[in-house]
Amino acid sequence: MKPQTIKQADIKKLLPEGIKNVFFSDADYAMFNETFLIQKGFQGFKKWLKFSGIESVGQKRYWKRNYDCDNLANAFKTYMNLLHAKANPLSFTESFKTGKANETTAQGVAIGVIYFEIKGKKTSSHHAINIAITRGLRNQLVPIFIEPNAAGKIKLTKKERESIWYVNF
Amino acid sequence: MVRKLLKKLFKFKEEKEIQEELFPKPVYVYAEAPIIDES
Repeated sequence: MKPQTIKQADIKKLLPEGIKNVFFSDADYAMFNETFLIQKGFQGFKKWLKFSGIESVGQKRYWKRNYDCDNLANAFKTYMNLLHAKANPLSFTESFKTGKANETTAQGVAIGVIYFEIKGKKTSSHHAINIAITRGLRNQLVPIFIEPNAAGKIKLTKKERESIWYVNF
Repeated sequence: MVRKLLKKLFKFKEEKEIQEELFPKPVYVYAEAPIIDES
């Protein structure tokens, strides 16, 4: 069996409607299994941050003034794409010459960065986290949300989902 | 042999071991196999 791939239009259908800024950098995407994303993959991400000198400290965890939510979300996306590239190392020429093939030819992995609004009674702020497309419990492709600052998979409220104003896969 | 001993003594890791720890092999979502009805 080959890893399933999805295209930009398939991802768009899974996003809440009306988001103004939706960006794609690749033509097609492979997807990581949810268990891998939130367990082994997430553990690897934290080790990678630690290796880079970004350590979890106190309540703020990996958050720093100069390495905040958008940096962490972009790092998570980059890290997962590194895993994808490392798992599929052969160039077209190498495949042709050796007769070997990568597990998948997908250009990227379906993990993006989103920005959304968190509204308090009198205040409002914006937050960056990750979105990943994966296969859910009912065997359908679903978007899941991942807080890269140590929490892992999270749920967004309906209001928060509707407030998403930036998506970048 | 000496390298093995030093490795054990100072608990250092080879680059490959560090890479394996930092970059685990991902598990993909696979396309569903077609259901063959043999009834």
